[in-house]
Amino acid sequence: MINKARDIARSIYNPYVEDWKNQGKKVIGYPCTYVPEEIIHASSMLPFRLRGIGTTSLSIGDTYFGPVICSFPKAILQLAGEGKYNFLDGVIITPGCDSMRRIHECWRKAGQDFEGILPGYFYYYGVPHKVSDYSIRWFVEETFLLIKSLEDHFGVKIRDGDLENSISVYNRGRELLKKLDQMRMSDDPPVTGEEALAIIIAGFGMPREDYNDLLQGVLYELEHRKVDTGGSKKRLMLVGSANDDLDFVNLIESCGAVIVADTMCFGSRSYNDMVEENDSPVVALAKRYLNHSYCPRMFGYYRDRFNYLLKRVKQARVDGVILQNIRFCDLHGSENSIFERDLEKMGIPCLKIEREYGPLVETGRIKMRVDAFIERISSMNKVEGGRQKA
Amino acid sequence: MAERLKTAKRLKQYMTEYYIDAKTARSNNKKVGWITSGGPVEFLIAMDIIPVYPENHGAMVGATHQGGMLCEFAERRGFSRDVCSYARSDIGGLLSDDPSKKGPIGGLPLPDMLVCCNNICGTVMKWYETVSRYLDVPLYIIDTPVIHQFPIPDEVVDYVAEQFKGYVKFLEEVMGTRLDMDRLMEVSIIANENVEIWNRVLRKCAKKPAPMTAFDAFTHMAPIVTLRGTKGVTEYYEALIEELDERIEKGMGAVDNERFRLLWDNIPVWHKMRALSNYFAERDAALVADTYTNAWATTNINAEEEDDIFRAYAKAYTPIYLNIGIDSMLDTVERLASIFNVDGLVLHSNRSCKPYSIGQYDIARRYHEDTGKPSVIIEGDMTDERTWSEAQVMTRLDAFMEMLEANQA
Repeated sequence: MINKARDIARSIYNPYVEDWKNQGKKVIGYPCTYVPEEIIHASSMLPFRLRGIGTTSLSIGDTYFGPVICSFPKAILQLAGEGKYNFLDGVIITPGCDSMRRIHECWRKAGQDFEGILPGYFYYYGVPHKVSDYSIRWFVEETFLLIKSLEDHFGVKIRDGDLENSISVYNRGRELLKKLDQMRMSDDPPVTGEEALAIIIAGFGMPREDYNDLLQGVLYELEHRKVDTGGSKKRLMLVGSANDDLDFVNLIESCGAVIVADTMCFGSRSYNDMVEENDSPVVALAKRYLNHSYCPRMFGYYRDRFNYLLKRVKQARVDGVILQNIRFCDLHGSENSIFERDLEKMGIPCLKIEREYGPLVETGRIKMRVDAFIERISSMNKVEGGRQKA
Repeated sequence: MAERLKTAKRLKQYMTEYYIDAKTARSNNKKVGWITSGGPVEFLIAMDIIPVYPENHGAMVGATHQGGMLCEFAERRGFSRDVCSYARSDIGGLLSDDPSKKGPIGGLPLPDMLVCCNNICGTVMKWYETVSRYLDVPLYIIDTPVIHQFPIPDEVVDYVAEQFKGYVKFLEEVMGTRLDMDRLMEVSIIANENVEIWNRVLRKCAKKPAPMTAFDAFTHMAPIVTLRGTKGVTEYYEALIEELDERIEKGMGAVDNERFRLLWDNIPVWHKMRALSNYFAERDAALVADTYTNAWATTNINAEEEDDIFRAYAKAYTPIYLNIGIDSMLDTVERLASIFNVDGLVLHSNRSCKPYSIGQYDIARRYHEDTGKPSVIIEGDMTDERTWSEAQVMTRLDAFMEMLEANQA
């Protein structure tokens, strides 16, 4: 089961998508956890989260974005330009950050030069940066516009009942992922960080009903797994910019660590909050998607984000926190320094890493820094007589 | 090269007085509000709050070559070197304990409140949140959705207008006084006059030879950015126009023997202003227009025409140059290129300003396709001089100038 998840996580056009397309059904790409997948699901289409894995060049991304931009949206555009996203029937773009919101236009421009890479449906979905009664109101309006646009373009009807069913299916998946979380955070985690990430990522690229089944199977497998993580491994938490690269986590864990928790968007941020099932579905979706304010794209809420981070540090009893950001990410690049300041003040060791998204060209540098961090934690543990008591 | 504009002396005095007022605000029982460059300053003016612009300070930091030093203070505290250098140098100045290392004017007067509008970028909110936490001062943020279509959808106008109401409430709470709406209307009208006259200043460069260059505009933009909504701005620009008209009448260009007319895109490289100005002047090239200073020449607040002043502000402050789609940005560049009759574009790919720098390759390409004229993209940073690669930039500029020469031959 875990291997199946890993295969999906390591590919873009996976067998589930292929099977879906063979049935003549549509796939809609989206870049960020602020797009309610339930709406796409309720229209009987497959929501597929855009990723940039497997890029070996950024020649196309660089051409349209320019050099001084985060490599994550550039890698997505690179794949699109190479035709790897030609299976998409539509794309919904959100203003996740300054770079991500411009993929809307860069992809359109690239579509003028690379035939067939621009899906017939290409939609910009406005998402507020504040949480208030009036921003929820606007977000609800934007969400109704999105629904109407999908209905008009694809000739589908998205009824409240469909949405309620989708909310229920997705909430079920979130419940299962929270169970996975509990297992990760246990004293002897039966799952590595790399495996957990693979399991989580699989959910972004396959039909949710199948995913829920897969999750149940994975959880069963893990419950019965013989555990030997070796008590000497350091328990770490991963924080910061988007990461869907299993090898990055592998690299960290190869230094004698296990990632037992995260606060990332290809991670716990995507499933931590449930959608209210007894509310009007669109309003419930708008509230949930806007209120999960753990992304620094949102104005304010530093304290909320910090408290959430701290809560997970305590729950998972971590020895240290890795704060990483993709280069040119102003959001995490600013906030990680404040996290570091506030966590270190509380005696929680932190390692701050800057990296490029994509193939691990910086393996040596990152490994050396993680090794040094593990050494630091080990020496602290010796002095303090054990694991952090955050 | 023509002599410097005489009005520059008056500008220096004008801005010095403004900074003295800001630095002595506390002793005069006045409050100081820090605000982002695209922020609605009119509300501060109407409430007699002294507006201070960290971005304007960032420009001074860059021009005095203190950017790298101040950025390092922030970097030592963990800020990524890829974060905007205005933000890093501002935060660096705050973190510096050495009074001689806080910037060219000994650091900005500390704020009583912070006002941040994300119509220029998303970075400003992290920057202002950081300052708010370090200094423990209240912060109000205005969220302006990106505009891809015109007219602006009503729901967006409503969303932003609600925030302007919240902005007033915020200021009233900080000040402990009510905002006089008549005074806001008066300030709004003056702000429009300011914008209109700034536009007239810039349009003077449509004349050939241009009586000033974009490098002059970068300096003379300070009043329209920092003191918009006050009569002094109009008076100052009237004096500047008078001098520009004199030059036009005499046929006197800012660049002797003007042969090439160019348009600049992005924030200036503040630490290379003189060098770049000289470079172009020595080659008979005048930067006659730019997208940066033009951004303050278009924000009209139709406060009198709209039933609701807050909706008028929402419509004025949401669709600014950096908050619109790339196609609209391209249209602006081509419109300016046409009005100012330029021979080519100089695009600064600014590692600090991501929203400004994305799309420049498309701008260059479409401009070439539509006009057959050349562009050059140079890489730099507005404030942090450590990233400047002289040889690389000069090689590109030399090749660009050769293209211009060839086109003219």
